[in-house]
Amino acid sequence: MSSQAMPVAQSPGFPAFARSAVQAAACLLLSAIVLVLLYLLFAPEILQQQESTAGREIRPWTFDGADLIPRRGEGQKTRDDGLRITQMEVDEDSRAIFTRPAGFKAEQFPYIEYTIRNRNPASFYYFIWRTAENPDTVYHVDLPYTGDRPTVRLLDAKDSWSGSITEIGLDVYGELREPRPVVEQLTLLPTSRINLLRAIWTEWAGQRSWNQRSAHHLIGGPYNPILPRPLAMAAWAGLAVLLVLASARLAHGDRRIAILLCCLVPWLFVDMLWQLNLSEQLDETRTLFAGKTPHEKHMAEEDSEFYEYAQHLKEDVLPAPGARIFLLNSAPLRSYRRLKAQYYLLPHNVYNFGKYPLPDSLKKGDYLLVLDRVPGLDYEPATGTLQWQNHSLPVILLDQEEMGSMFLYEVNR
Amino acid sequence: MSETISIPGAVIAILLPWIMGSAWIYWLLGRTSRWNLWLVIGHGYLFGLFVTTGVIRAWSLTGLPLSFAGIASCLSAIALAGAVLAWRQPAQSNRGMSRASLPLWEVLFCAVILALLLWRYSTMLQEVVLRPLFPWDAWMNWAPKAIVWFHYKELVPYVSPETWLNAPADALNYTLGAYKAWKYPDGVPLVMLWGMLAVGSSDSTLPNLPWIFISISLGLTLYGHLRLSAIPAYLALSAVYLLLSMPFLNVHSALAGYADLWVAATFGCAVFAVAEWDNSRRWPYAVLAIYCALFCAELKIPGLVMAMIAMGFLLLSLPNIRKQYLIALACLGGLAVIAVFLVGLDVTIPGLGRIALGTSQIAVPYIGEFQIAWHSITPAMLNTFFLMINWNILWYLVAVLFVFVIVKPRLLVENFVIFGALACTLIFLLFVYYFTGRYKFALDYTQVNRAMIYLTPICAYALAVTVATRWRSSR
Repeated sequence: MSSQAMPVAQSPGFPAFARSAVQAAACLLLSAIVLVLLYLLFAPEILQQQESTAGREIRPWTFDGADLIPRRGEGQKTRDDGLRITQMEVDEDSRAIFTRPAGFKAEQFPYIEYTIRNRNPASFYYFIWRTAENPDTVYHVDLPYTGDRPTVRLLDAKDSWSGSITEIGLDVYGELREPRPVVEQLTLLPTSRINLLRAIWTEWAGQRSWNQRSAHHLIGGPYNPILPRPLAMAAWAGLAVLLVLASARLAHGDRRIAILLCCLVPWLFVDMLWQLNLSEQLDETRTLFAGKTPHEKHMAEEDSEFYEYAQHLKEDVLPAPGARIFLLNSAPLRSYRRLKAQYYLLPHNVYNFGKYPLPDSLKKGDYLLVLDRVPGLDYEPATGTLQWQNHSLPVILLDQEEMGSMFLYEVNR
Repeated sequence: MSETISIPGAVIAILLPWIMGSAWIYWLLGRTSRWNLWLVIGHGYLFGLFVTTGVIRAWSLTGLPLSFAGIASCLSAIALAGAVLAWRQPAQSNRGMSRASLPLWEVLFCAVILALLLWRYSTMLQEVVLRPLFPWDAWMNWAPKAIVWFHYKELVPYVSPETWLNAPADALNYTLGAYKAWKYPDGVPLVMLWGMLAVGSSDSTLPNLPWIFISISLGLTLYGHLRLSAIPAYLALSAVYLLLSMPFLNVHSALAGYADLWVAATFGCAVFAVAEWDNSRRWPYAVLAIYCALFCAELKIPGLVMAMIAMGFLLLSLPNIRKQYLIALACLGGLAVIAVFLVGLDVTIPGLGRIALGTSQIAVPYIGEFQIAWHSITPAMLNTFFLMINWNILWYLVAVLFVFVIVKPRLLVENFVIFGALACTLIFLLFVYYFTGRYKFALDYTQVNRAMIYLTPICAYALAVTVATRWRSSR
């Protein structure tokens, strides 16, 4: 390809562009209508739900948030019969559970509509249930956040949504903020095509905060979505492009521009949902970190306890940075806890492998950090030794906290 | 890790390499009549950072403590030298560019795209500035080296865990928590170190800003190369929008600290430059390709392979052989590689190491040894390519592109470098995940997308040139 001879593609004028844009809009609209209709006719969820309810007319079952009884955490009734979650129960995690008795067949209600005000991205909501068949098991499905408006979630995507439901409720994890969240209403919904579309929208528009998997993959919904967004958008774009090609003789615009628009608009649709997610995430990031010093930011992080502990060691226990530290922990290599502890201890010189000391490699003045408790590795105060598997190492205990113990190896080898 | 943070230092850390790199790229590309401002600014940032990492390395060889003022002075001198050179040898007018004014709709179209990109990157910029280092590999593999170097003001060696254990008491060396991470290339930690030296802290978020600007410079470079290939502004900008709005690419800017975005940018720019060299035979583009490949190789171990692919295509295109013959040659080469695999090869080259190719094992010096076996990862690959939102609908468009190329092989001939590099990289990555132990990183999605990101700039380029080529031929 000789670039010197390459012609510069001429752009069409405005009238041609306008005609192309109208053509693209018409083809995209027609494509969307055809695909939605076809999907609603043949969606496996609809066919399966229709089969299981066998044409019986089932009315939605609505109940107020205040009908839920606290099992863990605390809540109070609002004026409009909602449930204001006022306190989590702090145990291993921060959690509140509210339930109520139920008595229906799961297949009657394949969807739940929930209206929860004042949710924040640092809290996670699950709809939970028990069945008569497995009364000791609590099943759950997450309730994505899409704003304060009523939101519909598909339940029967889960195999566990089957049989006789005896108890239903909400399980809430994470952080409560002011104003406190209010569960206004929950409604169990029968099968309907509109509900299916609303449930798909919930999966597409559900906000997701950053986590350690975000830099590895972005699901953009549950792991088994009803209808994956890229698939739907590709089908939309593909059919629209075919319609543009088919209508080339009817339309007088620039076919190339129309095709470009038919690909760009579905891309833009996915992109806008992604942008909304990013903007929502930025709001949360601002809430956590804006106007703070680096130290305050670390203290606001989810794993601030590692930072706090490492700061304590660096300021109160260890000498100037550069100390050789053997980090001992029972977790496998590359576990989050031991790696994050190493990071926060920088620029100290950390060897982060194994769970027991390596006596042959220790030098006078080395430190040993036993992160958490390592089963089989014990400190004997009487002899001033660390002991494990018939081994013994003379050390000085420098510091002991819930997160770990710091020892100094003082023997000159 | 807490120190006072210098905001002017952060601004200088971004602008100084950018200005220096742009001055030199301007001079370099000005030797031809085929250049544009987008290329100068886009390649300028990348080249500037590449030189910055080189200056830091050179400075450390002198034994002097690393100092921001000292390194910045060196970069200023290099910038000045570039500017003087450009002044003494003014650039040729860029005849390759169309100067026709854009119709109103195209201006509006481009304005909308730019507004969308501005919204996206201003959102991500705030995220980078506000959030402390977040993603796993960033604080496990890359930032620790920079933090230690910043503390000691020297490039303290990182060694294997065994070497660390057996080192004498007075030896100053470090090791990392991931077993093989000590031997990862230093490019990314050096970029971080430059930012840390500039802001005077190893605990600021500002040294992460290059993760935003590397995407922007990649976008500018893509636009510049596409415009150089006579692709209309609206189509070139659409390709840039496709690339810079891709969720997975965005995550690697917003959650700064990984090396993969850097490999994608340097590899992409290297291939763009090779394509332009092949197209126009202007030597400055071969030079651009070489520096991009060198930078790519110093970023991450897979970056070495990507650099070799880019350089392989540069070598292939040196003799200016007809592309039909090259394609035939490439097919024969592929068959030869398959034959070697089947027959088996196992040699040890003194000073380099063992090279083994066989149906049960591959050994490549420096990169590693891999057992070869088929792993069924297709559902995970389909999921991540076509069903998750990582890539928007990119891979659907690429699938259509491949059909086009099969139906119209002339596209392959006309864009040999782009399609060749795309095919080679894709085959290499699919081979790695289907046939080596890395398959488990495809099944759990921890790595496969980070490898596929290397292809995205080339995909965006390939889509734009294919559409443009088809449009030209359909007129």
